[in-house]
Amino acid sequence: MTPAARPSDPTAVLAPGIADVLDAALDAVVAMDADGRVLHWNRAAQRTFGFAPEQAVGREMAELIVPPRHRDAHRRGLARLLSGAAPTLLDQRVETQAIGADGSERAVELTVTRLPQEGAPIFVGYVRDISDRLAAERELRASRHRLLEAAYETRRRFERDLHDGAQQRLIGTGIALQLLRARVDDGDELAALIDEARDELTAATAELRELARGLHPAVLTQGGLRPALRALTGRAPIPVAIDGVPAGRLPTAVETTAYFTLAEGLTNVARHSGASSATIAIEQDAELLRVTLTDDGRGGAVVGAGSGLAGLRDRAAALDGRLWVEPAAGGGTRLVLEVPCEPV
Amino acid sequence: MSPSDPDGAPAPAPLRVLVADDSAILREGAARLLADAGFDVVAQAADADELLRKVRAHKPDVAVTDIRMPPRGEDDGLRAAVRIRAELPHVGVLVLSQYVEEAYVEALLANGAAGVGYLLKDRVADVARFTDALHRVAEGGSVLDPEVVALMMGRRTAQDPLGALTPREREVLGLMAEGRTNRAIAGALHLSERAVERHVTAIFGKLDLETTGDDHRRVLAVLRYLEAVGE
Repeated sequence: MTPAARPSDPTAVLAPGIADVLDAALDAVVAMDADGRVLHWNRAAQRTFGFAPEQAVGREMAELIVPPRHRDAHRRGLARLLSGAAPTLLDQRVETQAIGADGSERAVELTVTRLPQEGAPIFVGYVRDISDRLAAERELRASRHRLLEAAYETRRRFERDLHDGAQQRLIGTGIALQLLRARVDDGDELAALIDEARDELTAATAELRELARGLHPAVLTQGGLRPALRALTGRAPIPVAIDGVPAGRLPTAVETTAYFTLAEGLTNVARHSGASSATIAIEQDAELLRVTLTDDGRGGAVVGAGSGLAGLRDRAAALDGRLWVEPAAGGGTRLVLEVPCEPV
Repeated sequence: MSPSDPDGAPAPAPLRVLVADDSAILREGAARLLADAGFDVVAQAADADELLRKVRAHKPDVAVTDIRMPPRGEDDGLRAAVRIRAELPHVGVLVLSQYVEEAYVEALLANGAAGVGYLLKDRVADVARFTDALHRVAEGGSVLDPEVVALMMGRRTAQDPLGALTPREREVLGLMAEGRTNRAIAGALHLSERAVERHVTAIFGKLDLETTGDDHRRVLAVLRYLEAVGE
């Protein structure tokens, strides 16, 4: 059986009935001989690449559907395979690019197998166009990122609105009460009522201040992670050392995620770990920001339901990053956040 | 700066004050409150640029300013305050802050603590505290909100260098950090000035700080110490 001798009779390489089976497949199935010429081309291959079987069979696969920049590699790979070298591509799914009859490129998932038979080798490729899937994945990632940004922006706006609106009005009310109080004698029963109202107002203002701060600390917007983390650790119930924070500014979503990861992480440490101290470290290399929170507590924390860490993991993922916990040396826990981020 | 007793006795002439805040409610309210309390409110400003312009024109004894103000809507008021201190040493600045932030205090005191104040904004409605702060700043003293001092002193640290202080010494340290004079500390704690002096000497000894005559230098020394503890 010499495959090169049968370009005009493509189905001859296949047992009777097999061509019908292949034509029923939704994925493109193409067969190629040892010279790299097309032996078989099913219907799905026609749909995917735009060549009819009679146009495809007998032509070199490389010229037909392999993008010009990959052709040499394709030919070298085939030659290497025929020389008896260990296969690098066979029997696994790989993602690559292919071109169609109209010259357009599309992303494909490809599996190449060698038919188990005597004589000259025949290779079969199973090709699935995954352009739509990849585009959908990209859009999903992008929309997840946008949702995170929108959530952060909403919190920033609430804080700003509270600052510019309710908080100013409450202080304005306090001033009005004070002006009123100055016009009432100390012994007057109104004086006690006004003082009571002022005390309530002071408490409300303080509560609102903490609420607004928790929504989004203004100092994070103004000064970045350094002053914001200093303020965060200053309010922590256990000593928290800061072991290096990049001085420069980072993209807003990255700064905000790093901040809230550490804020939530510190809350967890204080509540559950029994730790007596913790350390924050932020390192930045060429493409990755790595944030760690290490405590000396009893360990055993997991990213799961109720730990508050699951939400943090989702935020990390929305930035194409990762978040996990691991045992720290000495028995504590280390919370790690890694986010792709180039230095600004 | 009006000539007066450095320990806060009221100056004979009314203090000339400028009030800057982008909220009209607050600006007008504070101006009225100050006028009622006998201050001369020489001008108002609604943003940081107007603040700088009017301070240069009026040269008030004290400029009171919000931190977050136009044009950028970030810490523009704070930046203007730092500039005023550098440019016009005779104009004190009292910065009003919505939030207690050490970073604001550090920026404000970067070039010294004389004639500088930092108060939580709600304190405006506490006339006695507000007017006392204005007098102290006008006289070249320093004023720090008790909340920010409490935050700085409350920071948990591995070594706890303040652990060597007695509870009374911690109280005295806190009041020093707020910018109080020995006489004011004595009044607040019902002690004699001599007793306060002894506490101060003990505190500086325990914390290994150099004693200094000036109250605002003392504030700075104490704050630098507390900042370093938090590093």
